[in-house]
Amino acid sequence: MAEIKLDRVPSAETVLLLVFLGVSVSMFAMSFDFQDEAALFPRFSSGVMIVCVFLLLFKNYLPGPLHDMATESAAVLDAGTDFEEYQSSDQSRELDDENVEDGSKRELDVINGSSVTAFAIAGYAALSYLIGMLWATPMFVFLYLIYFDVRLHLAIFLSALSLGIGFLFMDILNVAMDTGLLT
Amino acid sequence: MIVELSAYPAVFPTDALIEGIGTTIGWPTMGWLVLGVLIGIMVGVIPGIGSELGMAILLPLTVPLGGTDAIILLIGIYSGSLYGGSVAAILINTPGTAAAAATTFDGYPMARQGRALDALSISATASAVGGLFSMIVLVLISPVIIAAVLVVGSPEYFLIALLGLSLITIVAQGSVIKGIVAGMFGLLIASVGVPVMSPEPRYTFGMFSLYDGISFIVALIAMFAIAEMIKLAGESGGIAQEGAEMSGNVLSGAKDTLTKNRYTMIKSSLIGMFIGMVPGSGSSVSNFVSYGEAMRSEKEDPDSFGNGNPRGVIAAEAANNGTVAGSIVPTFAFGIPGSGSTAVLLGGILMHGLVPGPDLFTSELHVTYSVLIALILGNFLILAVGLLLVTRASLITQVDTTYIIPIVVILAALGSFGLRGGNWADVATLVVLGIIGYYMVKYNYSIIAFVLGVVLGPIAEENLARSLQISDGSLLIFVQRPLSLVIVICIIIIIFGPYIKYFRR
Repeated sequence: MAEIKLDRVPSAETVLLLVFLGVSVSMFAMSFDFQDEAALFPRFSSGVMIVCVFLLLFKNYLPGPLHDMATESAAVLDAGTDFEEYQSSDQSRELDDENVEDGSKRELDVINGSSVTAFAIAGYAALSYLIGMLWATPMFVFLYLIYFDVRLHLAIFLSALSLGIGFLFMDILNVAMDTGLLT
Repeated sequence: MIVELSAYPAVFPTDALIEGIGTTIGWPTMGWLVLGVLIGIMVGVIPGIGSELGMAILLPLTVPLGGTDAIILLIGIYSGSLYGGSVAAILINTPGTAAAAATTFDGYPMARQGRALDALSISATASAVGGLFSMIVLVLISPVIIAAVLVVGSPEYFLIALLGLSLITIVAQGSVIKGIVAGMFGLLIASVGVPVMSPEPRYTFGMFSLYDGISFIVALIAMFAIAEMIKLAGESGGIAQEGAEMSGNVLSGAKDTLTKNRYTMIKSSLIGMFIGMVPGSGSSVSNFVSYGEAMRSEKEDPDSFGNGNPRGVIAAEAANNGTVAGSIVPTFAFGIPGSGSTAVLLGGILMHGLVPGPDLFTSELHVTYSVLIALILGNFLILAVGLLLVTRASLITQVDTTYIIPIVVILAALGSFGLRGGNWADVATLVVLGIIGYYMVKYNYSIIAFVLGVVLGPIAEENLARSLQISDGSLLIFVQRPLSLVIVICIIIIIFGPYIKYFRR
């Protein structure tokens, strides 16, 4: 019997797979409310997705060929080189050694930078809904740049630029972007 | 896309070609081409940006433009960025785009040997001439392509869409099953809204804003712009800490490319063109394949590859620009994107009321020829910009991406919100798919497989329904004609081929 590995905390990929599973199961269930013709494609897609997600979630317990399909690249046109692999290799970028104190600190910086950006984008969208995208835009740009220690005058300049971009979009697309739920 | 059989074109369609030339060299079309190529070179130079992102965030701004102008602007960005990606690849060993990854193998060593200007001029020349050659070949074989498009009917369109979906299993980087998950996720996203065959809305939850479905263009912007910016935020702020040393000779690099290495350039251009025709592959694949072929066929000094052999740069750059010509074929002919960039281009085509397929090769043939002529002229522009401005190239690589990230985000958000007249569902889509897209990229779930699912799902569903209407529900309609039968056999081979490989072990 295969040894069962217990992860301390679900990885982000596991969470992603659970999101996919949730979406596909819901859409599969809802497809039974549609007419047969309209239900065919969503039912097929969600069914295949459910099966594949389960295969990935339990890939460590799959027999040989299935395990290979779940883990190995099948790309026949990759000429033996994976660009993602190449990007993360030592040759792909020359980093200043003084900036890399230890691997754990760098990984924390990576996580924080991406997480903060994701939250900031979600916050920008929410603020836009409340007060209008035109006014939320310079606020988002200013706060984002200040958080990442950009010089104040540059942050002010780019915020003003972003307000100008907002007006440009309003003019070109002829859409009201200066009103929100509260304004 | 129901098609009626029509006569094959008996002669080369010179009228449409002349009209296309007239459109392209006129004003303001030429101005949009120049702007597109310049923007493309700039977005290509900055690592982490690239043509998909540049095209995606500018796409909503093309609304006021005419269809031809908008497509030429977008395709100028595409073409320019493929050259631009080589600048950072050569100067700081960091490709600006995936299409320039193989350029680093010999381009960067050349720079370290004090031949940076040689490498940059070789890159500009190979990109321009490689792209030019493949475009001319495409124009010359266009009557054959036109003939092929005109015999395709609804059953064949369904099968071609299915073929494109099945290609996910072999072109997706990462595991087969991850590619299928990404593709199916794309199919599910595309199933939201009111389908063609039934007035009953699907997955709209009573929200009127979802009756038109999830915007394919917003989904692209989310994947190519938001996801990439979240990823870029986790990387080092400035790519180049200081300016790269610019030494060498511009003219000798260009001259050597045109005289001593023209065979390599032509061969690589053709490799790029044919790989570009395969949906989902694109220039990120062609530059590696071409580099590998150049290395394999090197007789004099194969060990020099990877140590500053100019042929390495030529092979990669000629191939990636050659891909542009190839990727136009499935995009214009069948509405199947050859790459992420052509997926955005397809969005532009649809947004401006043009329909991929027979129309672009009959009544709108002059539009197609305008685009091809624009690309031919664009390659001359790439050569001129590359050779004249090459000494200033290192400045762009020093741009701190921290400044770029919020600007790209707001461009994406403003464009997505305004695309369908102020639709908050599109903003929500942008944020949710952007975050999901980040994790998909991080854990190697193919974005191009997702794009293929989003684009091909509706095409497959619509043509399946129409085909079954024509045949009164009989599935034999999909194997009755020789073309249909050939496509079915290809699909079977593609789907079951990987299984044979795995179970043989």
